[in-house]
Amino acid sequence: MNCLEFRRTIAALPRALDNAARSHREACPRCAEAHARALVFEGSLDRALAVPVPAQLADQILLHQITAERSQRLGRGHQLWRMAAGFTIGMGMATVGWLALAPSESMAAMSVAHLVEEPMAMASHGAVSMDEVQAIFARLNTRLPRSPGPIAYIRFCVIGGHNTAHMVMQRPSGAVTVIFAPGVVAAAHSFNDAGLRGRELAVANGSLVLLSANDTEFDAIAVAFNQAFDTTVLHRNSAAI
Amino acid sequence: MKAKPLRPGLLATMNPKQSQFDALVRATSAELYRFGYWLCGNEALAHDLVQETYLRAWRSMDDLRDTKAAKAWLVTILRREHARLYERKGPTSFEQIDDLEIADFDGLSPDQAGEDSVVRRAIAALDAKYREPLLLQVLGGLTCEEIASQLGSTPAAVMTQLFRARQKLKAALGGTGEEAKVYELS
Ligand SMILES: [Zn+2]
Ligand SMILES: [Zn+2]
Repeated sequence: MNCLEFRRTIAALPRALDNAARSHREACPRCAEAHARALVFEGSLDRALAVPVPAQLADQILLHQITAERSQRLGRGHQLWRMAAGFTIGMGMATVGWLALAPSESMAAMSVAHLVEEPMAMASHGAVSMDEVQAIFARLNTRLPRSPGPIAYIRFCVIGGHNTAHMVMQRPSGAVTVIFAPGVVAAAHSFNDAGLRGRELAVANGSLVLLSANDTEFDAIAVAFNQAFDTTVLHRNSAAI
Repeated sequence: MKAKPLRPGLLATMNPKQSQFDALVRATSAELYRFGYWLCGNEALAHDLVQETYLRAWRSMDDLRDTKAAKAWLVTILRREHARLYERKGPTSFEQIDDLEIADFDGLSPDQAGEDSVVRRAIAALDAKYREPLLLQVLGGLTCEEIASQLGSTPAAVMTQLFRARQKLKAALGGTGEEAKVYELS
C-alpha cells in the first residue's frame, strides 16, 4: 500500500484498518500522523452524534411491545379469563419494576395484563369477611373503615411494582375485578380493551381500576368504594367518576 | 414515583423469547434511537420510530438467527419503518438541532463543546446521500459491504460517500484537511 492508497482508506474507513494499511502506518510516520488526526476527528464525530437519549427509553419500548402484544392477542377474540396463563407470565414479570415509572394509564394496562395471571379470580364466588379485607388494606397502609359491598375474592398482589389489593365483586351483570393501588396517581378515564371494559379513577390515597365485561356496575362500585374509604373522599372524587 | 429494581427471581421466570427481546432492547435502543434521530431530525419522531421498529422486531424475532447481526437487522427494520411512516412527508428539517444538549458533557472543554455543535449542525446540513452511509458506519457499525447492500449500492460508491461526508464535516470545522487534498490529487 502506498501513501495515496493509505490516505484514501483512512478518509473513508479510519476506524478499522486492514493488515496492509496497518503495516503502511508502521512504516510511514507522516501517514501515522495523518491517521492520528483522523482518529481525533472520529472522536468529535462520535460526540456530535451522541444526542441525548430519552430517559427510560428501553422501558418505554418494552411497554409499547407488551401492550401491543396483549391487545393483539385479545383482538383474536379470546375471552380474557380463558386465555392460557402461559404467555402472560413473561409479560407480567417483564413489567415488574419499570412500570413504576410509567404514567398512570399503565396501572390500568397492567391490571388488564395481571388479570390473565389469576384466571380463577373472576370465577370466584367466595364471601370474604370484612376482617380479611381490612387486613389486606392494612398491608397497603390504607384505612377502609366501611365495607364497599360483598367481596368474592381478595388477594395482595404486586402489579407493575405496586402493592395492590386485587378484588373481585360478583354483581348482577357479572364479575367485576377491582384493583386498588395506593400511591398511584390516576386521571379518571375509561377504556375498552377488545371487549373488556375498564375504568380508572382516583380514590383515597391511590388509584382504583375496575375491569369487567360490561360497565353497568362501575358507577355504583366507585361510589361504594369512595364511601368505604371516607365520606370526605366521596365528596372530592364524585365529580371525576 | 420511584423506580424499583427488577427482581431477579421474577425475571428468571420470563419466557425465553421475552427475555431475549428485553436484553436486545436494553443493549441496542440508545444507539438505534440516535440513528433514528439523525435520520428524521426530530426527537419525538425518532422516539416513535424506534418504538415501532422494536415492535416489528419483536414480531419477527424468529428471523434473527445470529445475535451478532442484530444491529444491522434492527437498522434495516428502522430504515424501512422510516420510509413507511415519514418519508412521504418530504425532507426532514433539523429544527431542534440548536437546542440539543451534548449527552456526555462532563470532561468536555468549552472548545470541544463548541466544536460538537458545529459538527452537529454540519451533520444536519449534509445531504441524505452522504449522511446515511456515515450513520450506518458510525452508529450502526456496519461495514462498507453491509452499507452497500442496505442502500442498494456498491462498496466503491459507499467508500466515496463516506469520504465526501467526512470531507464536508471537516470543511465545516474550518480545516480543509490534508487527507482531502491528497485524495483530490487522484
Ligand atoms: Zn505513507
Ligand atoms: Zn392478583
